[in-house]
Amino acid sequence: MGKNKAAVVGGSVLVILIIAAILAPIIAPYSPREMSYGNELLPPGSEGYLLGTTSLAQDVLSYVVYGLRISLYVGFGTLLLEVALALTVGGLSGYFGGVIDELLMRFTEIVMTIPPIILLITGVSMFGTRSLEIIILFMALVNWPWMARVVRAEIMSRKQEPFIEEGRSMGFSELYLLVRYIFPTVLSPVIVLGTLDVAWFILYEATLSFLGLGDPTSTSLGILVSMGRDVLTSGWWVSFIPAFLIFLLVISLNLLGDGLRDALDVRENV
Amino acid sequence: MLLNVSDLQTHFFTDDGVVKAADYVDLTVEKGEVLGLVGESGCGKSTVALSILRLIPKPGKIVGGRIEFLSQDLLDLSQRAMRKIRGNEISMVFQDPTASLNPVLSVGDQIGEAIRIHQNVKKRKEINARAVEILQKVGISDPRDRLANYPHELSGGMQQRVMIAIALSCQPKLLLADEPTSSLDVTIEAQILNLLRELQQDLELSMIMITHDLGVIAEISDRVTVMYAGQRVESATVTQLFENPLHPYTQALLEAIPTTEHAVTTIETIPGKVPSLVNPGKRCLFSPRCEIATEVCKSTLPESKRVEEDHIVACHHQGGPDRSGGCHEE
Repeated sequence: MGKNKAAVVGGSVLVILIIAAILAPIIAPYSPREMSYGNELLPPGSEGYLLGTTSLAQDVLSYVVYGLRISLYVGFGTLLLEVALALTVGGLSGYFGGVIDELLMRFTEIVMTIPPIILLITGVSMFGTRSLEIIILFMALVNWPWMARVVRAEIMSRKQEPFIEEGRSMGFSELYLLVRYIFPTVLSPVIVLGTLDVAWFILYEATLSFLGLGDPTSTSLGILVSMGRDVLTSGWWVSFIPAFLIFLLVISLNLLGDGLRDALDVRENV
Repeated sequence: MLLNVSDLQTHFFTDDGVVKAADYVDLTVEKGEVLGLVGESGCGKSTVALSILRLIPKPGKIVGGRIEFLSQDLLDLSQRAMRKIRGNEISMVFQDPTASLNPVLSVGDQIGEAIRIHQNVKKRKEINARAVEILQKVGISDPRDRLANYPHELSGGMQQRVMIAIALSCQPKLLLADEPTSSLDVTIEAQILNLLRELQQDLELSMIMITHDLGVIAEISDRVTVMYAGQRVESATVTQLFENPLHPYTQALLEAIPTTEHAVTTIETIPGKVPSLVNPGKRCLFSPRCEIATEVCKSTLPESKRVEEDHIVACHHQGGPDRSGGCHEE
């Protein structure tokens, strides 16, 4: 029961943050990067600047609500790509088995042996212009193997069910059965794992941005944390507020993911 | 003749050896006829049905024989051509409807998908109209309201009706019913059997009814094929089989039916168990359990003999030394 309450809290916080991101143009009093000279490093609560300003006189509130959009876009965008890759590889592997399974699983294991953060940094810095989409692409490329293995294990146990055989006896093709009969049954673990992964993707993107490897043209929360680093003693809010939002996003996704794991009865440590 | 299976050999290549789940099985089904396929668990009844649809799971394989359906050998067809037969020309009703219905598709979707795929009907309205029509045929009340239901919202009997509706959705010529009533309780079983009988007559459907229950056979079949340990031991019309069973195994099965004529104190059983189908050897496979087995039974595989029109038996003694089978004076 305790976990359920936590999940509801997590889910609610997440919904509020998503609504804030959607309503960013209404909530934000300024455009996110607009600088108003003379108003540098105002503390939170200042007239017209509810959450204070940066050393470049940008409104922190405006910056972070747009930053939320970036985080959510990257988090869920990567999730979509990751799920697509995991369902393809894990699905084919688990459903057809045999040689296909051997080849795909060995390939998956090879990808798993590469330290994610190193592949990510190398991958992203290969490109001269670093867009959010490139970050999404590499984060998905680094993370799909874990989900693919869960999908494969789940499908291997599901493909024995009599209703699959029934579908086969009705003359449906193997691909049709895989997509329409088997994929829906692996949704639960994918949702649980996916929710927790989104939190990781948001953290990864913030980390890359903090390190200067993000999309420099974006209003990423990580960039704002990094900007505040130089003025940590005189203007703590510049780093703290975006960092706190990242924390809120990640913890709410984790609470929700754990709650879903219980609710959907997905076994742990797959 | 609609279906003519001859010398069907379906083997499973397991780590323990080759299991001959169906060994030189012959059977025929005429148009509009119900063939009962009887035998105890593990005798290869379902293997025969799955072989006809070519759905033998690994490590099984059809290694020989012919399965002629409408004068073409199904074993010659490509996978793609075979898929056009499954569900469209030949379809199957499974034993456990709860497990055999897709839990995430609604009743309407499940009936509709075969119509959509096999008969190329794309309009949702038309598919739904067809589904409603079929649900009505299988005796489901308020069929229009049932389309949106999911399998778990229906009772076991209703689920089996839906299974039958799915199987009949494309007007197949042959229905394989694999113990369709054994997971249902007795009153529902009677309803479903009546339904199958009615549908079979209305639609002039041919059917193979697989069961271990001779009561079901008597109820619904025109002819019967009895299987034992992967082999056909006897084949006859229902009347012939019940009046004049020739194979000792068939006789034992019939004796094992409890009657209501006198108080039953002990239930007749057949001693022993089905032999391992790995290297069964050259002998009558029933001989270890047979009361009238002689030396010849333990050394030679009996051949199938036609003793009268429509009555075939594979026994050296044709049902016992006292019966006039006309072979044995050693």
